[in-house]
Amino acid sequence: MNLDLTFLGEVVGFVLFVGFTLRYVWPPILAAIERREREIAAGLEAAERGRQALADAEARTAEMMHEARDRAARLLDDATRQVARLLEEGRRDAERQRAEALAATEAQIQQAVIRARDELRTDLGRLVVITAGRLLEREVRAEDHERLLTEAARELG
Amino acid sequence: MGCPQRCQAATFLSDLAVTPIAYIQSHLRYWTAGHGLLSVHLDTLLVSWGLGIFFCAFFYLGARRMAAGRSTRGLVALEMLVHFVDGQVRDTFHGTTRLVGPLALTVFVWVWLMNAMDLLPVDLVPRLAALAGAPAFKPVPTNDLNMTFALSVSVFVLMIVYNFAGKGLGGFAREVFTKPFGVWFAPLNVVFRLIEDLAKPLSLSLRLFGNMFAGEMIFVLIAALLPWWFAWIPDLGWTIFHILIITLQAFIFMMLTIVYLSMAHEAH
Repeated sequence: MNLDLTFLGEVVGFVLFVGFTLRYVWPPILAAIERREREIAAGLEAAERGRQALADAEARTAEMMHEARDRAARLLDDATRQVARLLEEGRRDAERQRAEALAATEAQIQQAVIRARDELRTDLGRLVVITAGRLLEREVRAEDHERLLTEAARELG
Repeated sequence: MGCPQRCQAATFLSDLAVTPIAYIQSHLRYWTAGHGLLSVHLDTLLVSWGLGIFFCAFFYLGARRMAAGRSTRGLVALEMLVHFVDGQVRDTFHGTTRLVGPLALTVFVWVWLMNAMDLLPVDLVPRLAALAGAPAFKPVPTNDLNMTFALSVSVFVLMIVYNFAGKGLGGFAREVFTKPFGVWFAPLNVVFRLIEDLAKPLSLSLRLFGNMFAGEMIFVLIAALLPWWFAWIPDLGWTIFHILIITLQAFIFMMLTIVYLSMAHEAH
C-alpha cells in the first residue's frame, strides 16, 4: 500500500498518454466534429433556402393563376360583347335589307299598277272611240280620233 | 490462493473461519518487485500501461479514420464521447487552453478502463497470472494509491503551472497572501491556501482509491463468505451497480480535474 516507484512509473505513463492524446487524438477528432457541425449547418441552411424557394414558387404560381384567370375572364367578356355587337349589326343589316327589298318591290308594284292603268286607259279610250264611231255611224276622223283618245285618257287619268 | 474449491468444500464452520481470511488477504497483495521505496507493483504498472496504450491506439485509429472522412456507428460514438468531454471543458474552463481537453479525455477514458477491470470476475485475472508464475496480482490499477496519487499529483503540478500562467507571479502571490482574510492576515491566508490546495489532490486520489478498493472488497467478500450456488445473485447486483460507480468515479475525476485547473487559472 505504501508509495513506491510505481508512482513514478504511473506519472511517466500519464504524461505520455496525455501528450499522445494532445498531439495525435484530440485535434483530428475535434476537426471532424467541427466539420460535421459545419455540414449540418450548411444542410439546414440549404433546406431553409429550398423551403423559401418553394414558397416563392408557390406564390408566383398563385399570382400567375390569378392573372390567367383574369385574362380569361377578360377575353370571355370581350368575346361576349363582340358576339352581341355582331348579332346586333347582323340584325340591323337584315332589317335594312328587308326594308330595301320591300321598298323596291313596292316601287315595282307601283310601276306595274301605273303601267296597267295606262294600258287600261288606252284600251278604254280606244273602246270609247270605237263605240262612239258606231253610235255616230261614221268613221271618226283620224285627227279627231287621236284627240278624243287623248282627252279621254286625260279625264280618266 | 486456490480458495474457491476449498470454499466450496468448506461446509463446516471451523474451516470457514480460517479460509476466507486467507482468501481475502491473497486479494490484497500486489505483485511486487524490489524492496521498500524502490519497489514496483508490476501488476498495477502492467495493466495501467496496457490500458493506456490500448486507449491511445484505439483513439488514434479512430481519429485517423475520422480524418479520412469515414463515419460508422463506432466512430460516431467516439465523436460523441470527445464532444461530451469538450463540452464539459468549454462549460467549466474559461480561457484558451490546448491541454485541458485532451487531459480530461485521457483521464476519463483511462480511469474508466482501469476501473472497468473490476468488472472482470474477481479471481479470473489473479488465477491466470498465477498460471504465468505471478505470486499475486491485483488487476485494478486504480485500486492502488500509487496510481491515483500519480494522477492527482500530476494534476496538482498542472494546477501550480496554471496558477502562474493565468495570474502571473504577482497575481498568484497576491491571491495567496491576501485571500480570503485580507493583507493583515497574510500568514493565516497562506496556511489556509496550503490546506486548500493540498486537500485537492489528496481528496481527488483518495476518493477514487477508496471507491475502487471498497468495490473490489465487496466482490472479494461475496466470493469469500457466500456459498458458490448463492454468490452469483449479490455478485450480479453489485456488478450492475458497479458499472455505474466506475463510470461515475471516472467522470468525477475528470470533472474535478477540469474544475481545479480552471480555479487555478482564474482569479478567485
